[in-house]
Amino acid sequence: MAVSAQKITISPVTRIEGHAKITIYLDDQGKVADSLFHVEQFRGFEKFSEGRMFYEMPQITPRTCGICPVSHHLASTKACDVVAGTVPTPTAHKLRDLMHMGQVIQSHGMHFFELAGPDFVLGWDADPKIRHVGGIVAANPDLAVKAVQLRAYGQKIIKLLGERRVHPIFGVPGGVTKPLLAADREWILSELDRHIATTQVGLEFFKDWAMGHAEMVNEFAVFPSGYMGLVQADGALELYHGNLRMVDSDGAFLEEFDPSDYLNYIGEHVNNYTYLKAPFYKKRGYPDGVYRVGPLGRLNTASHISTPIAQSEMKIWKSLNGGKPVEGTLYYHYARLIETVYALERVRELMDDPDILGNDVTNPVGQITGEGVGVLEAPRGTLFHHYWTDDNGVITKVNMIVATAGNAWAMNHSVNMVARRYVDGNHLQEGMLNRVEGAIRAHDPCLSCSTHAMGQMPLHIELVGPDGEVLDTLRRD
Amino acid sequence: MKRFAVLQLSGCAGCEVSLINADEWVNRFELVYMPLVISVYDVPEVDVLLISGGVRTDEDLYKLRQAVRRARQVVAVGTCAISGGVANLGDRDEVRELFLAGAQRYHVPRLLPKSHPVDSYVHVDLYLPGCPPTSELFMAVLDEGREFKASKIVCQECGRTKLRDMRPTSLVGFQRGHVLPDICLINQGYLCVGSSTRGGCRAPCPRAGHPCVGCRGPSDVFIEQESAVWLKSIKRVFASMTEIAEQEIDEALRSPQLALFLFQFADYAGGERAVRPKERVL
Repeated sequence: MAVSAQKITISPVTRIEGHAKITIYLDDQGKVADSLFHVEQFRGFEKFSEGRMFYEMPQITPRTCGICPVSHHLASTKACDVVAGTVPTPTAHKLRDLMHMGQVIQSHGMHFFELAGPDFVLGWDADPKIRHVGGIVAANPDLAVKAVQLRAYGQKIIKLLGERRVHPIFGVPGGVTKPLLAADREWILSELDRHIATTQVGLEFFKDWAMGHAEMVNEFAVFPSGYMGLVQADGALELYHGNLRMVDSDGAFLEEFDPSDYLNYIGEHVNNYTYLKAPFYKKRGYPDGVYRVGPLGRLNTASHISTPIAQSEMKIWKSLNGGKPVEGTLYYHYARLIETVYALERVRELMDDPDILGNDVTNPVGQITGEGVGVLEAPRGTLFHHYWTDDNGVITKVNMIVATAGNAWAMNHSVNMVARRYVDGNHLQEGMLNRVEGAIRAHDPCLSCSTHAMGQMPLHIELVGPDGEVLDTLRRD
Repeated sequence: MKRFAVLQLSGCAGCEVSLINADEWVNRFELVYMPLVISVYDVPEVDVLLISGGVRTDEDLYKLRQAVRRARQVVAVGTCAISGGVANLGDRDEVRELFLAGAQRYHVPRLLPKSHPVDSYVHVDLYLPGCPPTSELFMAVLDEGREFKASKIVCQECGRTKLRDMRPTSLVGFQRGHVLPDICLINQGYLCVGSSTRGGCRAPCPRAGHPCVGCRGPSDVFIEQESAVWLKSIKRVFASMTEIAEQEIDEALRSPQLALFLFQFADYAGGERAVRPKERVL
């Protein structure tokens, strides 16, 4: 990939550039007193969906995010099933699950190998001119090619089912638009093993790196929080359909509930410095009830993983903190790779399922029920779509909690911790900037589900003195 | 080597992902700016500037005006940049009230009262509609030497057969039960607008059994005319292929509750913008 020189600009505080902004406040001694993480987009999907027909939502809502449109498409379709008073056929349910695994594979694979990888392969203080995916291609072309193929494999699964890799056409209330062809099933199976192998290379690489950088891993935004994620009936990791479980900061069980009841358990906090709302566990309030979602949140919530290779890694995961939840933000990367292996193994399970080649892919719709919730685990965390309609199916109200929002508090907190640890208030350095950015990047955010960053996120850092004076600004876009 | 940049305004990054999927360009064109992938602060001098997303905030507008000065050719990419797209549904009054309330926050860009297409503010040399444009269409823009053949309309790329003796009497609304393979969706009672929507996408939606919702906008025949002409043509297609009452089609086409114009309505219904010459739309 062609990449030009990176430019670091120190400028007066006038306008903000880029999609994310961090403000760091200093005390009298030049130490970090506080920081804020700003997310800057707002397009009003919940509001402008009002008045549309419910069955349009699987096409409207993917436009929230071009990086993980499949997650929105499928969560929306699940909500529409309920609104339409129907359930998907067994084959349709499994085909949607398969498409979702394609999404997890491509999203997780791209994030570790192509976006976050440069920090680990090339180093946090490497020249930003080479600290991007192009640098990995130069350093390890074999791995880079395999990583691109891993992402392409996930995208191909999506395309085989939904015709389009971005904003696919697949889910409809009661089912999906078409069955899986036998030849496509064969192709998916034939490719599987080499992609598991690629992911295992990533796992070994990350474990080696973490071992060699234990000091950084152990002081990089390590903090307690609650955790949330879908689980199977026996408590195993689930990404597509299951109960929602919440655990406490020490791993103790808090709640397990049908995701349709989420409003009884989850509230949303609005901060005036960002367009991103922060969800929390209602019974504890904000900020005591904050939790983390996404790969780290899910592995801390689930008791085990139902597929063998991923479970062997899960055992290591559970031993990292003596059976307690893993708290270090950099472990998101490890969790993401474990989940990638699980998603690949899950593809094999689905391919071996006798229902998968079934032709019965749509159930008829019933009476409009007037309300429906669809929940799944998007790559970045639990995604909620909740629609209310009138008797004709016209949307009257929408509530969406996007996956990245689940980590809104955690991202802000991580930035704060990393800034306090690494920022020297008397002058800014690029390597510090990259670590602050890394605190956000570990969460793999889709900011407002629209400003997701690959490689280096546009950042704008302000240093503000105790009297409010802006001392220094470092900008990188 | 041709240098190009990608500026993302308020959008979903789907156009960017579609461009990345077209990985053919990687060794042939030099990507010098695209915050999603690489970290460069300013748009440098480029041969081609691709702009995705609509102008939603004051920051979008600022970045847009800064960037176009440095580009030899400006291409508006994707439905949001050209006709508002799904996000343009936010121009409804009650949503705008919400935006204005949101504009009171601190440290975040101010929302403009209304979303605008890119050419409301700057000159655009080429339009590449689609939500998102396919990887093939992106390559057709970047690679001028490439022979790119598109059908005039989506219908011609869909591959479904139109039947003379299968004439529905009312619109289906959405998939109720199975969609028959290989048979035209209009024959099955779906409000598919592939008959007047710009071709070039290779018809993934109707091929998957989902009616075309017109994300690529009107075909060459209609693009320089007002929206009423486009509507009339769709009605004519339904009159010739179905027994559905004209009033039902008319209401369905104009109703905001039907999928048509999900992508186009706000723009093509109004008369506030200049005509986009068909030669400049891919």
